[in-house]
This record gives sequence, C-alpha cells and structure tokens, in this order.
Amino acid sequence: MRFENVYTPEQERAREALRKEVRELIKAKGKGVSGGPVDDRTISRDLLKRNKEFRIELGKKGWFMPTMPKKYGGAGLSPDMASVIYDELDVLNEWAADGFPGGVGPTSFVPNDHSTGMVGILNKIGTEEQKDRMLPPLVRGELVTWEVFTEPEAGSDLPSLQTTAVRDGDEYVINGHKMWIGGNNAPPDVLMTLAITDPNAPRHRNISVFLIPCNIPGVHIYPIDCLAPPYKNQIIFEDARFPASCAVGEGGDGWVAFNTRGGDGGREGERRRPIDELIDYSKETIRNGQRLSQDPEVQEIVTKAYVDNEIHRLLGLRNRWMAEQNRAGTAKKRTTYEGGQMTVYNKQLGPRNADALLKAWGPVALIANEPWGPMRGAAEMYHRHAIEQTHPGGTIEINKLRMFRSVIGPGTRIPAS
Amino acid sequence: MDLSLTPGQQMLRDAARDFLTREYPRKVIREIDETESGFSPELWRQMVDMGWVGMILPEEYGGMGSSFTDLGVLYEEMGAACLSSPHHSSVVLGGLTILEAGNDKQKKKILPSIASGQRILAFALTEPDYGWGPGSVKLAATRKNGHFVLNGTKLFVPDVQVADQILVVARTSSRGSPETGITLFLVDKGTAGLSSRILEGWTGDKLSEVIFNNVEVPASAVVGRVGGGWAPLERVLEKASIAMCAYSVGGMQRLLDISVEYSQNRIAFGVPIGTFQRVQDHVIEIVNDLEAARWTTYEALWKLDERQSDAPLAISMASVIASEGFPHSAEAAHRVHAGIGIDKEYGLYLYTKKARSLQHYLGDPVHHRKQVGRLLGM
Repeated sequence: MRFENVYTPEQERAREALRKEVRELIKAKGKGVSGGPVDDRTISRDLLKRNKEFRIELGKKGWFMPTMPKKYGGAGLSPDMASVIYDELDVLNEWAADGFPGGVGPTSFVPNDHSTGMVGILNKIGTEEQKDRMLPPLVRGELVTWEVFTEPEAGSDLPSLQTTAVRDGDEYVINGHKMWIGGNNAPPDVLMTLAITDPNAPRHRNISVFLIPCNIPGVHIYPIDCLAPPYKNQIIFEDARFPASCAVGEGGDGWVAFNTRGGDGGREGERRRPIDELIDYSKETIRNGQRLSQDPEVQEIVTKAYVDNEIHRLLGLRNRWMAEQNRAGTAKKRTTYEGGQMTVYNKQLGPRNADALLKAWGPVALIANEPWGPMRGAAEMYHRHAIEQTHPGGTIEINKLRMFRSVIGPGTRIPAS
Repeated sequence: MDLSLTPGQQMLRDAARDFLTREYPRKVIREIDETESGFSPELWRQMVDMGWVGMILPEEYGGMGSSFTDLGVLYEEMGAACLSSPHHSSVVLGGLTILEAGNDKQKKKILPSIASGQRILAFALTEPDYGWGPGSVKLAATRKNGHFVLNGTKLFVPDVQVADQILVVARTSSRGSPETGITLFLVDKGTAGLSSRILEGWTGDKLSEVIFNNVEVPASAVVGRVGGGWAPLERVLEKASIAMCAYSVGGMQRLLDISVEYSQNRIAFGVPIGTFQRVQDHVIEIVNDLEAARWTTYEALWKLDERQSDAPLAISMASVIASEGFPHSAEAAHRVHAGIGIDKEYGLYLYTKKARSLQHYLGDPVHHRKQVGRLLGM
C-alpha cells in the first residue's frame, strides 16, 4: 500500500513544467478575475465577465476539465496531473480554500458538480454525434450549466417529476416547475433538464435529458432567498420551444443517466481547511490568560473534529483510488457503497464541523465582522452552508437507502418497504 | 498512490482466511474460549507452522522480517475469526520489546525461541491504578546485593496462564518525570514470590492478576537500561496498538458480513428484516465504523513501515476509531440479530466481549484522544 503518490524524475519534471505553465497563465491573465464577495447575489457584472474570460482562457488550454480527452476540449491528463492545475488555481479560488468543496464563490474555477455531472451524462448516454457537438463548449468552460432536476413535488422521490417535454415536429415544447436550481457560476447558458417524454412508459423509463438553452422564450428564472450560497432558483417552463437536437441520448434513458452520472474523483482525499483553522485558532487565541487549546474541553472538541475530518479525507482518498482503478481497468473490487457512503459522511460532517467551531470558540464563530469573526468571517457562513448542503443530490436518508442497497449487492436486492 | 495489497499480502490474506474459515469456525473458537486456559496448543502449533508467529521478527532471529502492513493483514484475518492466541503478548509486545531494548545476548537467546513458538511471553504493564502511561506504573523494583526485588500488583494481564516468562514494566526510581525510572524485567513465571490467578468475568482474553511479593531477580533479567525502559516501550506500544486496530477491522468486517446475511434471511412480517430501514441503519453504522477504522489503520501501518515522523499521530487516531468502532459495531450487530444474538451457539457474543476488552487494551479512546491532542501541539 502507498497512501501518497511517488513520481519518477520524469513525472516530477512534467509536473513542474505544468505548474510553471499554469502559474504563467495566472500571472498573465488572472488579474482581477476572482475574489469579490462570497455572496454571489452581490457580485458585480464586471467581475463575472472577467471571470468568464479567464475560464475560457483555461478552456483553451484544456485546463477547465483537464481529465477530459483532447478531442472534447480537455487536456487528456490523469487526475493526478490535473491536481497540479487545481492546486495552482487555489490561489484564485479564495473561498474554495476556506473549505467549501468545489468553491462557494461564483468565481470558482474548479468545475463543480453541475459541469462534471453533465459531462458524465453525455458520456453515459450521448450518441457520438451528440458528444462531438455538445461536449467541447462545456469542457472548454464556454457555457455555464445548471442541473435542472428537482421539482416542488419531486425531491428525494425524483422519478415523480411532472415536467413534460412534448415533441412537435423538429422541436420540443416543455412545461413545468423546477425548484432548488442553480450553482456557482451564475448566470447559466444551458439547462440540463430532466422531463417526462413518454407519460405511458413505466416509471424510471419515461424520463429524458435535454440541454436547453436559457435564452429562449418561456424560460423564467426566479431567485429563492436561501440561507447561504450557492443561492438557488425556481425555474418555470411555460410552453418553451427548443430544437429536438437538444435531446441527449435516445430518449427514455434519463433516469439511468441521472443515477449513474459522476465526476472524475476530482479533489477527494484532501483535508478541509476548517479543521486546520480550528486547530490554529484554538492554539493562537488567548482567553483568560491561557491558550484556548489548553482548556481540556476545547482540546476534546478539537481532537474529535480532527479525527472526524481525517476519516473524511481517507474515505475520499479511497474513492479517488477506486475511481482511478476503474478508469484504468485494474479494479479488483467492485465499487458499491463507497460513493453513497462518502455523500452521507460529507453531509453529516459539515454540521458537525460547524458545531465544533461554535463549541470550541464560542459566539465569535457566528460573527462575520473583522476582527472578531475567525476565518475572515467565513466561520459564520460555514454554519449556514453546512445546513444547506445536507439536501442537494438527495437527503442523508435517501443516500443511506442507496448505500444499503449497494451493501447487499444487486444480485440479492430486496424490495424497498 | 496504490491502496491495494501486494501479491504477497494477498496470498497471506487468502491463506489465513481459508485456513481459519475451515479450521476455526465460531463453534471451535467458542470451545477454546470455554477451556480454563483459553489456549489451544494445536492452534499455536499450526500458527508456528504457517510462519505467523515469527514473521514480524528479523530473519537473523528466526523470523521473516515482515512489514507491519503484512502483520496488519494477518491480524485482520485473526480478528475476523475472533481468534485468541498469545501471539500479541508474546511476539508483538514481548518480542518487539526485546528487539528494541534488549542487548545482543538477550536478543540471540530469547528471540529465536519466541519466533519458533517454544517460548511464550506475557506482558505486564497495567496495575490497580489503571492507565497505559508511565505515570501509572507503580510496581517497585529495588536493588539488593546486585539483584532486584519486585513488589506490587499487575492487573488485567493477558496470557499469563500460558506464558513461560513475564515482561514486567517496573519502577526503579520515583524521581524526575514519570518516564524516567521505568525499567523492564523479564521474569520467569516460576520465580519464588510470584503468583497469579485468572480473573473471572466477561473478557475477550483470559486476564490475570499477578502479585509480586518480594520477587528476587538477577540483574541479567533487566531488558535494556535501568531507568531507560519507557522510550523503547513507547515505540513498541505504538506497534502493538496498530496491530490490534487491524484485528478490530477484521472483527468489524465479520460483524458486517453476518449482519447482512441475517438481514436478508430472517423473515418478519412476511419480508426479510433488511427491508426495514431501521434495520438497514444498523448495518450502515457497521459499514461506517468499519471503513473509518480500515483506512485509518492501513494508513498508519503504511506510515509505520515508511518510518514517517507522524506515524504516532496516525496510530493514536486509528486507535480512537477502532476501539470505539468495534464495540459500537457489535452493538449494532446485536440490534440486527435480536434474539439469536444472545444464543451462545450462534457466537456473536464472542465478538462483543472481545470488542469490549479491546476498547481499553493498550489505551482507551480517551487516552488516545489525549495523545492526538498532544501530537497536534495543543
């Protein structure tokens, strides 16, 4: 076993060369493209524009989704080489570095679930023609995409969705109400939408996927006043017409695609920053004449949180390794519950970390203003963000159900109650 | 990064798993557990034959010079079978202490007989003032005419009933910090003034009380330097702890396997009980305990093999997780199994009582959490 990567001198040279190249691009074109407020509702149009321009610069080099094949606009790099790029971009992903995976700020340059999920679906069910046509602008970061799945009456029970897309000649007409939609890189260009195309087909086989352009009549986007970024929206489709060429796959395969989409393992297996902040702040802060960390109760809270976060790191490392093995075709063990387990752990860890911050530090953990709010005020946002993150992609309970079904294996599946 | 076992480790795992599944099902483990000594000479002989006993010791002393990850792989399989043997006391704690602290003469004389299984050591550290740190060691060793005289009580000592000698952690001086003044002695069990009895109760291994009443030993019984016993011992305790974490991982894996199987076969209200989400939750708790313990344990083993400076932190962290996770998993398994879980013939209880003993063995979660805090510089 080896829990870290070891590189040959040749690989080291390649990594160093790539690192240098990324740094040069950041130096040349990366000025003023990120930063700004973490609250993506107050970000200026100007910053968004500069941000998009830089994302396209990255895309030109294949570095927006570096693990994608070159023919689709990626750089064809291994996940490990891609991590060189992500590490360098952390300089710009100010808020990502504060422990919000994928970046909370609208100016994150690491592709988020919305982008990688869409690529995953296209890879899974897209025809060659669709992949050739649709993937490059997504992979090059030219188009901002949102996943448009959930509805007011179809959250955890997503297959109960009611939005319909009806074929009419060379077009589809879509009608429906989508809820809790949106990601970081607002505003979107394309909506990856699940809709019922065959109301008479059995459940799970009646849904198709579409990449719908936003700039067509009948698409209405309304922001929802949520607890924390990334802020969510409602979308109303009102007799919106789009070309039939926006359909992905053969039709009726939307549920399968949704259920099996996945990222590239990305940055899993790295430690979250709040735990380092928790340790450092506790060691550096003097209260009542002694370091906070000298208080036995604070010590216990911090060490428990440390252990908790180390488990998270190692489960992520395991998943990343399994993803690499699957990609290379060398996996000896079939991946089963690991993805669901990580999702559950992730969703439970956020609130536990927030709780640890509050218990160890007291009310300053709820304050945004400097100098009192630790982590430049991000500690307080962590509380809101952790709650908000427990729902996307299915609740903890839904993911536990998925996990159990994977534990017992597909061959021995027992009916759900 | 490569988190797979080497081909050699896979062979070791498969061989151990095949052998233990075939020869030592829960029924046999229970029969051994119910004997007075809790020891099977037959099993010990087989372990010697398969090369398990000496593997961690260097080749020059009759061992195989295996890595700690190799040892972890074996301990995981022993944990899955819920095996009891003096391997941990005699080889890991005893043998590695002689290797770390002993002089050449002691190593040459003692280690080959440990590796061949002919000599069995017990390891006595804890006392009525219970604790795994140096401060809890009170048993006094005083000099007398070039000899040492030991007085005091050691408590909860495994494998005394089958040991030839006991490695005793004693105090030769009370001055300075608790670490200074710790001296290690290798004492023959038949020495005058030494008496022991197995403590009855619900323990995973047979634990003994050992009373030292003016036990006189020659100076040659000292292992290492007088007053310098703690530093080498601390390094051995780390290795011994992570081996037991691997044992717990194996135990949790078996708890998961039998719980999943039972949840699919047991019918209630006309359906398998695994259909009920409340039952599923218990199974998922075991998966979470297991995977957390597995990967923290193997990372720590890897760090130990690589001699990384933060290996002690990784070991204490894995110890916190495994020593909490194993009993917690056993409890969850009982929730899944309900009635059949208390039937001794079914044998789930073997894991439960082992997990409870192991929670305290070599330091409880509080002890290891404090270690984590200390190593994080808090």
